[in-house]
Amino acid sequence: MKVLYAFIRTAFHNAFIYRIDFWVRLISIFIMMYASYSLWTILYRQIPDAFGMDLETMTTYGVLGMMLGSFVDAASDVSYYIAEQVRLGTLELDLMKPLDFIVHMFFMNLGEFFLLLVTNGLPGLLFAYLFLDFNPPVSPEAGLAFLISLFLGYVVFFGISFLMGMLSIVTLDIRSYSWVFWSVVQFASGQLVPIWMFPPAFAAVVLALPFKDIYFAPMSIYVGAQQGSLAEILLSQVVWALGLILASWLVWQRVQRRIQVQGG
Amino acid sequence: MAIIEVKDLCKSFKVPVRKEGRLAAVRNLITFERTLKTAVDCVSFDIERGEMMGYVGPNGAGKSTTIKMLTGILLPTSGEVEVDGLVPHRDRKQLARRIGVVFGQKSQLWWDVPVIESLRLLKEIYRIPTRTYKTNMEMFGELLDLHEFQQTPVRQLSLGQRMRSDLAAALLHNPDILFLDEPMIGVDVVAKERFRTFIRQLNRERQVTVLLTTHDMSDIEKVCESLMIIDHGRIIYDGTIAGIKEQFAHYRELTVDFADGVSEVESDRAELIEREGQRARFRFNRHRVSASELITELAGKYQIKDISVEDTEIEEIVRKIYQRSPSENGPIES
Amino acid sequence: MKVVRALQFRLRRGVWYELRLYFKFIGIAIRSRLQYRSDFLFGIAGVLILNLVNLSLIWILVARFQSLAGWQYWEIVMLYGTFLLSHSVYAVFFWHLSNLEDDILHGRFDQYLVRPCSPLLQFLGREVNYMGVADVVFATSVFVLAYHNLGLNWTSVQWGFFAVAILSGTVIETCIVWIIGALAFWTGRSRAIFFVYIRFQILGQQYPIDIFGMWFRIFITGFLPLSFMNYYPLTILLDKPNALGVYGIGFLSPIVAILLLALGALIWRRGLAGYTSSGN
Ligand SMILES: Nc1ncnc2c1ncn2[C@@H]1O[C@H](COP(=O)(O)OP(=O)(O)OP(=O)(O)O)[C@@H](O)[C@H]1O
Ligand SMILES: [Mg+2]
Repeated sequence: MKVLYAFIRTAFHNAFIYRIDFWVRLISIFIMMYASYSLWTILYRQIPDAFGMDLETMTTYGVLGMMLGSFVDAASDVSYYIAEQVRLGTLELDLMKPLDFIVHMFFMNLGEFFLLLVTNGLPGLLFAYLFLDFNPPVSPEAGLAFLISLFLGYVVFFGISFLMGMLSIVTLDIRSYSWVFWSVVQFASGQLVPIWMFPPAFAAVVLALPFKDIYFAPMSIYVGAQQGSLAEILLSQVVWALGLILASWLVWQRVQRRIQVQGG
Repeated sequence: MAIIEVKDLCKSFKVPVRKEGRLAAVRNLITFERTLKTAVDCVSFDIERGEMMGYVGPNGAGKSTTIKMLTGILLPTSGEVEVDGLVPHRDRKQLARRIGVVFGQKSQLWWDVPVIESLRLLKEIYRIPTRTYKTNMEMFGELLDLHEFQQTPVRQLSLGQRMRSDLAAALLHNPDILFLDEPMIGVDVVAKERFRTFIRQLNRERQVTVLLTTHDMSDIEKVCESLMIIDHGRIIYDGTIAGIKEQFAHYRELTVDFADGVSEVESDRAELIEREGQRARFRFNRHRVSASELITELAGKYQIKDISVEDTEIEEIVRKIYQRSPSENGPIES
Repeated sequence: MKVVRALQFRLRRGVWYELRLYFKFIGIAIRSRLQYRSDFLFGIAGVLILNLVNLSLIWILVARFQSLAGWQYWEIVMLYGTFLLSHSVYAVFFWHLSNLEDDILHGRFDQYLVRPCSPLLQFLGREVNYMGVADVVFATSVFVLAYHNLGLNWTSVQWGFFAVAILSGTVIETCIVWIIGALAFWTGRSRAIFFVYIRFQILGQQYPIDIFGMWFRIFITGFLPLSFMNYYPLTILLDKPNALGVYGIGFLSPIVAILLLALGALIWRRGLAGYTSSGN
C-alpha cells in the first residue's frame, strides 16, 4: 500500500507540473461527453425503436462511456511506455529495477488512474448532471458494483495494454497504429455503442472477448442493463483480469530471458 | 581580437513553482507561477584564437549551459556573446560551419547505421570538399583508429569507440573552434592519452581553439594552458594553470630515501610529515625555500639514496576551491 | 533588382540544398529501418486487420440505423477511405511529429541546432514509417470499392479537386500534430494533448459529423479543423448538404491547410527560440 501511495503522489506531482495538459484534458472530456450526448439524441430521433430503451438511459450510457474513457485510458500508457523503451533501447534498464516490472507498471498507472478519477471524473460528473440529463446509478447496490467493476475493467485494460506493449518488442512501433487499435477497442468494449445493439452474431463474438469487461461491464451495471447476473459479470471480469495478468507475466518472463541471453 | 568574447552573460531557466501546504493540490492546478533559476550568472571572459581553455566546476555549476549559449543552442537571458564575430543564436547556421561540438552524454551520430555512413552524411551537410574529407578521414583513421569500427552501427559501439566517432564527426569540417563537453566519459587510459595528444596536435597544426569541460583534472593539466573555474554560475577563476598553482599551491612535498643507518632526520626549512622505514616525506613552503636549497641542506647532513619533488596536484587545488564555504565565494584574483 | 535576384538565387539554392539533404536523411532512415525487416509483413498484416475490423464495426452501427444522418454505408466507407489516404501520407513521412515531445524533453534538439541546416528537416528526416504503405494500399482499395458501389463517375475537375483535398488533408493532420508537438517547447509535455487529439480523431473522422450536435460540429470545423480532411470536401463531391448548412465549405480545405501551415511555422519559430535544452 505504501508503494501505491508513493505512486499516487508522483502522479499528482506530475499533474501539477503539466497543468496545461490537465486543463486540455478536462475540457476535452466535456466536449466528448457533449458529442456523445448529442449523437444519441440525434439518432434516437431518427429511429426511436432501434434502441430498446428510453433516451435518457441511452444518453447516460453514452456520456458515461466518454467520461470513463478519460481515466481508464491511463492504462494504455503502459504500451506506450514499453514501445518507447524498445525504441530507445533502454528496456534492459527495467530488468534491473528492484520492483518486478509488471508490478511497477501497474502501480504507476494505477496512480494515474486514481488521480484522473478524482480530477476528471468529479468535474465530468457535475457537468453531466447539470447539462446532459445524466441519471444516477439505477440503485445504490448498482453504484457500488459499478465501482468494483470499473476497477476490474481497468485491470483488464492494463493487461491488454501490457501485451500490446510486448508486441512492440516483436514488431516495430505499434504506436503509429494506436489510433486504429484504440478505435477497435472503443467499439469492442462497448464504450461507444452498447453491445446489446450489435447484431446477434457480432455480439456473440464480442462478448467472448475480454474487451467488453473494460467498459461494457461497469457501464451496463450503472444503467441497469447488464447481460446476465451481477455475480456472473464480476466473475468474468475477475477471470479475464487474472488471465491477462498471468499472460503478461508469462510473456514478460520470456522476453526477459531473451534480453538476458542476448546480453542487452 | 579574441575569438570568443563573452560579456555579462546570464541564463536563467523558468521552473514551475510547486506550492506546499493546505489545499496545495488545488492551488497548484490553478496558478501558473514560475520562478527563475539562474544557471549562469553574469559571466565575462575572452578566449583567444588558438587558445586551449579548460572549463571546470562542480556539478550544476553552469558549464554545459555556457557552452550551449556559445554554440547557439540556447538563447541567453541577457548579456553579449560573440563567437568568431558572430552572434551564436542569431547566426546559428553560419556559426555551425565554423565550430565542432561534442557532448559526451549525447551522440550526434545516426544510431542505426555504420559510423562511416554518418560521416558521409555529414560531408553532405557541411558541404565538405572531397579532398578535405579524404585527408581528414585518413588522419582520423590513423589517430583515432576509426578503421577498426567504422563499419559498425553506432548502437553497437562501446562508449569509448562512440566518443572517438563523435570527435571525428565534430572535426570533419575543419572547425576553427572545438567545444568539448565532457568528451572523455568512458574512454580508457590508452585511448585517453591518444585523445589528448590528438587534440593538442590539432591545436598546434591547425590553430583550433578548444574549450574543454571535464571532471578529470589531469585532462586539463595535459591539454590546456588556461583554466576557468565556475561555481554557482559565476566564474571564480580565469587564468593560467601555472597561475593557479602559484596562488594556491603554497606547499610542495619532497620524498627522500635515506641510506641505511640514517635514523633521526630533520630539517630547519621543511616539516617532516611522514616517516616509514628509510623513506621520509617533507613539506615545504615554495615561496620561502626552493627545492634545491632543501636538497642541498639534507644532502649535507645525511646520506641520501634517492629523492623526488612533487607538486600539489591541480585536483587538490580545485577540490579546495569547490569546498570553500559559499560566503567565501568571491572571485579569486589571478 | 540585382539584390533581389541574388536573394532569389540564394533562396533557391538553400531550398534545393535542404531538400537534397532531406532525401539523404530519409535514405539513412530507411536503411536503419531495414535492419528490423523481419517484422515488416507482420506489421502490414496487423494494419490491414485492424482497419478491416474497424470498418466492419462502423458497419454495425450503420446496419442498425440503415443510414447515419443521411449517409449510406458506402458513403461512410468513402469518408473513411478519403481520410485514410491523407492519413497514410502523414503516417509514412510525418508520423514521428507526435514524438516531438521526446526530443524536446530529452534535449535532443541540441544536435540539430549545431548543424548548418534546418532543425525541422533534420527531425523529419530521422524516421520513415514504411508500414504506412499498408495504409496506402488499404485506403486505395476501400476508396475504389466505395467509388464503384456508389456508381460515381467523376470528371477530371472533380478528380483534381479530390487530389487537392487529399493533399490538404495530409497538411492539416500533419500541422495539427506538429503544433501539438511544438507545445512541448513551453509545457515540456504534449503527449496527453496528443491522446486527446486521437480521441477526437476517432470520433470525428470516421462518421459524418451530422450525427453530432451543433456545438461539436462547430468545434471540429473551426477549432480542431479535422472535418476539412475528408468530410467537407466529400460533401461537395457527393453533392450532399453539409452539417453547417453553408454551401461550399469544402472548397476551403486548401486554405485551412495553408493557414495551419503558417500557424505551425509561427509556433515552431517561437518555440525553438525558447528551447531550453535539458539539464544534462
Ligand atoms: N533545461 C533546463 N531547465 C531547467 N534548469 C536547467 C536546465 N539546464 C540546466 N539547468 C540548471 O542549471 C544549472 C546548471 O546546469 P549545467 O548543465 O550547466 O551544469 P554543469 O556545470 O554542466 O554540470 P555537470 O558538471 O553536472 O554537467 C543546474 O542547476 C541545472 O539544474
Ligand atoms: Mg554538464
